[in-house]
Amino acid sequence: MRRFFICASLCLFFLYWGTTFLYVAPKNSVFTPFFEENSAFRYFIGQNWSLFAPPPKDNKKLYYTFYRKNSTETRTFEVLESLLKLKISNAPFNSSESVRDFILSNSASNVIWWSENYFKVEHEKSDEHFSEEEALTQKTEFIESAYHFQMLKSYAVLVAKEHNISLDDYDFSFRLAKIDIPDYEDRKKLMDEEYVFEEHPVFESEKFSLEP
Amino acid sequence: MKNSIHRLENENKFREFSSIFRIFIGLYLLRKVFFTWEFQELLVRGKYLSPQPASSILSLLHIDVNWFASNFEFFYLIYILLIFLFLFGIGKQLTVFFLYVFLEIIYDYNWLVLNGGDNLLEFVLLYFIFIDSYSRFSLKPLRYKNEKVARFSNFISNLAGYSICIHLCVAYFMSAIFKIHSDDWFHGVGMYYSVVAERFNGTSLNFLLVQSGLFVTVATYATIAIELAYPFLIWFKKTRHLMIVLAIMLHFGIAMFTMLYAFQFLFIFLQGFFITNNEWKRIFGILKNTFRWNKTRIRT
Repeated sequence: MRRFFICASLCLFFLYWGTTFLYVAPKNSVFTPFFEENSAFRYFIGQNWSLFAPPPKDNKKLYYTFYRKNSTETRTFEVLESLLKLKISNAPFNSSESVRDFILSNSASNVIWWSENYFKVEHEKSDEHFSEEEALTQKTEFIESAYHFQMLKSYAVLVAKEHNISLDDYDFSFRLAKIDIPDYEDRKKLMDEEYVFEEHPVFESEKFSLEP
Repeated sequence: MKNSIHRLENENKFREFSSIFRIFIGLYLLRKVFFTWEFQELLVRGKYLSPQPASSILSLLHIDVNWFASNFEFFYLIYILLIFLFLFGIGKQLTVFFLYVFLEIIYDYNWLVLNGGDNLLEFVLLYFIFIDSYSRFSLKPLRYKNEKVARFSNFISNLAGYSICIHLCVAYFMSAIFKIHSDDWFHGVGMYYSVVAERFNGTSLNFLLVQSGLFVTVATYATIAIELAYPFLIWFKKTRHLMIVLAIMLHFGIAMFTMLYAFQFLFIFLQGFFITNNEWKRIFGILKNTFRWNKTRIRT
């Protein structure tokens, strides 16, 4: 009996580690198909150790614009830059700012990634051809149905409350932009206080209502 | 093979450190609850969030996702209670099992704010279901009347303890492989981009240090070298301590320069699993003597 339990434990141990090792290994044609999206493997042994590889190549900006109903008044706030400044100035006691940064930066990265790569990924998946307008509608629907987009949209309520903006009287939209980190060869630009880093707009949402 | 099995049965090789690490896990989880609490309303019940697909555990338990979302405070209350039971070693492995289930459910709704450290901790907690970590800092240590059961408990506990060590090695090895595959790391500039990105710009020194090509290149390749060598050299007695020191230096540097504190401290603490019971006993002895010596000095 004792021998049985020891053998069973060892078999489980090696099976678990074999599977985990194959899961975390770089994508390949033999083993990757076993770990498809939504598979039980992915849920129970899901992990990713490509820490900082590839490293980040840009900084992000996230703007919320609030439009007063029946008026031309608008108010715009950039939320990431001020948050990161606070995170840096409060370091190492910046856990609250870090959590907020994770929510916003991860969501922003995902929306940016899909708005830049949607067509490439979809083209690989299917051979169907759509008109440009249809394709754009599909892309917008896809991005808007994603959790990351909905998170940025939900965050607008917090921004409105922080700036005493009445939820009943305003609509809102948000937009995302990227600022490239200077190439390694141009790293002196980081020390040049007069250098202006160019912002590249990447995504702009439609207008939504803030009403509860 | 027989000898190795006997060795695994004779003694719980992680007895000393697993007790300390149990306290660390408890505090780590409590800290996470404390700092993410103000965002739970947004993460679980955000105004525009569509109901998320049920997690596997919620589905297995036949719990409705919407019900969880509207009662997540209740889940958190039980979760916090389980953390305290775990901290005091009450309920032993049964408590760890339930804590793991609750952690999985809660992390399913918090995945946006999880980092690599939280991911690794999920696995460590899974291994802790099998580890006897109750020799210290526990209201009552685990005792078995039957010798055979005690030996089997040691065996399982050791397999789980080694799983933590292997997992750490896998994390380092894969991180090194992915870095080598990435052009920036391969050409010695990966560190530059990692420390100047606004999100990770931890000190005012970051911009200054990256002006030195030597610093960037050495730091980039040293990171890869440590991550690549660690999984192999950590198992040899002669190189073990050196690898532990190098890993601690690496994580301390990453914590300082990129502001990923909890993540890095978890990796630093995990190094303790490579220190033997006897070495820990010696460390405890030194700490005890220092504490006693200080106490006597204060009295006199």
